[in-house]
Amino acid sequence: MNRVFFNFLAGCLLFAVACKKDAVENVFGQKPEQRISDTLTYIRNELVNAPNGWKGGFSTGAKGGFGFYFNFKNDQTVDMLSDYSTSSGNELKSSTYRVSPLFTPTLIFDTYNYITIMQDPAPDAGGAAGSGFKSDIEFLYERHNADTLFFTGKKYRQPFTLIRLSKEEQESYLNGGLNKFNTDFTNLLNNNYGFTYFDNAGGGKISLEIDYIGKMANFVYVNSSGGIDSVYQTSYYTTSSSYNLVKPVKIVDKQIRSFVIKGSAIEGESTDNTATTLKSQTSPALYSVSDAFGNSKPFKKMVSRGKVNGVDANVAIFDRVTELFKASGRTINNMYFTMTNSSSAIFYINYTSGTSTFIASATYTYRREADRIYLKRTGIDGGNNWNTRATQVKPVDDLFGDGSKELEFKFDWVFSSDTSVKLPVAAIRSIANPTNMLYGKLQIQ
Amino acid sequence: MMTIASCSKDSDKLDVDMNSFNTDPEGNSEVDQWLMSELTDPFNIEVIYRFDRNLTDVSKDIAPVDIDKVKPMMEAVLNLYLKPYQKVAGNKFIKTLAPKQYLLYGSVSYNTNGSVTLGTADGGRKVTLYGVNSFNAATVEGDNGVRRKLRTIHHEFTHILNQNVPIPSDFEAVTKGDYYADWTNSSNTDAVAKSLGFVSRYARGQYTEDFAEMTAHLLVEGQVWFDNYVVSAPISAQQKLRKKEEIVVRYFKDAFDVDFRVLQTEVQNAFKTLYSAKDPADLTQTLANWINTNKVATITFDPSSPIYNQYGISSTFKTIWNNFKNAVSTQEPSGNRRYPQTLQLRFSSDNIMTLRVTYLNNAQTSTLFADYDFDLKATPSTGEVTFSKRMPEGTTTAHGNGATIYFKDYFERYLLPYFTNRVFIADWLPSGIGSTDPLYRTYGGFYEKGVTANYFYGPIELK
Repeated sequence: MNRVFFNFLAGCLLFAVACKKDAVENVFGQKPEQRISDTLTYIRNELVNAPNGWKGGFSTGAKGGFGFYFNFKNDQTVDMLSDYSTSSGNELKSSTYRVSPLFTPTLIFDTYNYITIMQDPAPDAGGAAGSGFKSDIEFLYERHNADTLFFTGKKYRQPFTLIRLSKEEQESYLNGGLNKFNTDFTNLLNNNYGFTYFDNAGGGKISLEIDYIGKMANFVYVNSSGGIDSVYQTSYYTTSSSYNLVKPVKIVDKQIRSFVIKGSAIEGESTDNTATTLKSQTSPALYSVSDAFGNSKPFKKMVSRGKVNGVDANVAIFDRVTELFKASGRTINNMYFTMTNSSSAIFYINYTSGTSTFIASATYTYRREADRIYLKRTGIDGGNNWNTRATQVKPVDDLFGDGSKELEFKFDWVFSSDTSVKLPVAAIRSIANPTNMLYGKLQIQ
Repeated sequence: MMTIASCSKDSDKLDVDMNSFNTDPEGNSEVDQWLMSELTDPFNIEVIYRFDRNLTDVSKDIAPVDIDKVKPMMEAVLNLYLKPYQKVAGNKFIKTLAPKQYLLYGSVSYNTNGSVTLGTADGGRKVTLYGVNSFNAATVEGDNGVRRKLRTIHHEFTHILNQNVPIPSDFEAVTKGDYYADWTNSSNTDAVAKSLGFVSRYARGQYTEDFAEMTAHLLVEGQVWFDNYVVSAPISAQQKLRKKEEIVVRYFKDAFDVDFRVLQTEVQNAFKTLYSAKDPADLTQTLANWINTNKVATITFDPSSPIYNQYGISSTFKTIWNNFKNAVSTQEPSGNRRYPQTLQLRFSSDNIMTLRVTYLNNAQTSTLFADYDFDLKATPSTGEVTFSKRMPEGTTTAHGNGATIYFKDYFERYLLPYFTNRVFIADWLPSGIGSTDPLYRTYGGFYEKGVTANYFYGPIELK
């Protein structure tokens, strides 16, 4: 629509330059300001003419998805609930909104409410200083269908949908439905399911891994011989009756858009409103870490996922290093282990000291044999930060060595005794001492 | 546009239907009405609190303000900035010069150098306040308290004044060499900024910020705070801060015919009556500062005074005195004996203290003095006072008495180590004389730092 509008404007200008002002033909029936005005009126009316309110959600750039309940009112205020926290799921908060004639008609949440928490650049709100969760409070209107308005975040370009609620749904929201569904779903998944997957066509399986903290769902497509065909990631958000995937996922011939509870089972619900059964197996995972993780594999990086309860590791290295940096007055911005090409790997730390940012990294040569990896440190970052931060990076050197000799490790899943851990814990485990390991979350990039 | 204009001569007038021109909807909430009646109508000030990206740095993520914070924030602006100026400088002044637009944002604005922006003033017309969501109208002090936010308001308004009448050129000259663009650098600590004669770290950024910081601190933190700040700075910095203060006061008079002192009192009164603010303890009214500013002549310990029966005496100090007195008065041969009566600390300047023993001669017929000079160092911000033996010794008769064999050994054995081996805290002793007592600040003394049971005191005689 933007492009059409621009073409139209360009057309107007051309005619004007050609001194044919009176000959302008309104190709789209109305003058542009009139057509924008019509759209503004449409959105403004739609928002307030929803007697039971709206539900909506989006993905953030830095931390998964978030879901909301909205009740837009004529006096330009809006009441909200959010799955951001337990209290935001229970307590209605009111703020103002407006539908503004910017470049495109834009819905702006223009005073503070739950939806602005994700955009708040203050670290107190939970995100990174200066950028928060990388989210928007201005949403450009795109289109609509029967019960849904489609918007796009102005800066971070994440899609944002508003869906009309029924009377029953609204009552559910207003009676703690967000928190209840979240509790019911996690209890069910934690207690009744082991490793979850969907059956795929041709004997393949699709592993479902839910990262509750990051609010992301991983789908790993495994073929009938156990190899990984592809990996699909999407963030999800909570509604009063489902976990909604921000981007639907294809399973056999269906597009699964949410997870719902049916009786005592969890089902994938597709866009045509049919259900797909979620299956479970105790162990092991459908695929091996060595198939999933590497330079030419679907998962490229291993990052911290916080300390995981019930893991038999001597040291939670990512967490320990973070603590040590913090104790020295420095903050880690980014830390990961990755194989940069077929023969070298890096342990990378980007940290802030005072107002300056530094990089400390150790590089390794490696070779792989089946599920084994042999690592030898060959260098450090261009400067000398790895050495000056020796105290802080000691847990890494303790595991991967200081370059004096090559060490043998194994790619492995680590089993947590905590049933709420639904995202598999991948590890690089020392052969010499199997409780020494680097464990974390596998990331696509 | 040129083309259109030149080609449209034949049309009578530009024919645009403004009815279909699209605008933001106007609000009419309780907050909107309050802003209209309290700020827009009387002062012609518009308050924009609903988020608008284009009115701030478009590339940054800045959170909108919480609507519950709008009224408390603007109430503070009204009470602690607009009304005092209106009262002291007049309606015309405030209506002409006050910013016409206030923009409120909820979060601070993060800069690439790690600092955050709390406020800006553009073109003398618009003031943007960031971080309003953390504002807490119920607390006065601290980062989220009323003072901190109002400092930003007054700081930005000072910029507007400066855009109308430039800062006097002698202001920049006071600390010319010490301005430091990279003021957020960790080397520019609060202490460094103070020692160079700046009222805050930010004041070091450039002289325009320095001027705004000086004005804002004087008005918002108050004179007692400023005097404390000055008195706890090194002497060289004290002179610079006082010079800057004088220029600020003069600037308001010369440029706008505003009595800065009256304005300051007005702002401070509003803080005290409306926000229950309290002045900090006045560091200038401490014994250490009295000594440091050369106000005190003597403090005398006379063991026969009834004051020690009433308010007590330190047994540690009493033992020292008695040991000294007994050693001098019972020495052999008996012809050497002298009879110490009192001990007096004589502050001849802010860095020399003469310890005087008043005694009776061997025949106990006449009163004489034995004097010993000490170097003195008083730190008003902490109250700490240290003494060290001053060399060479003085040359007066009394100093000669002190050097005789009747005294010298005993002085060196008892009194010298007592005064030089510890850090004292100068204070209004005895503590039994409270601040409401008429005798308050007529007695004073010293206690050992960390050992409050070791003290001495006596009546103060001023110069």
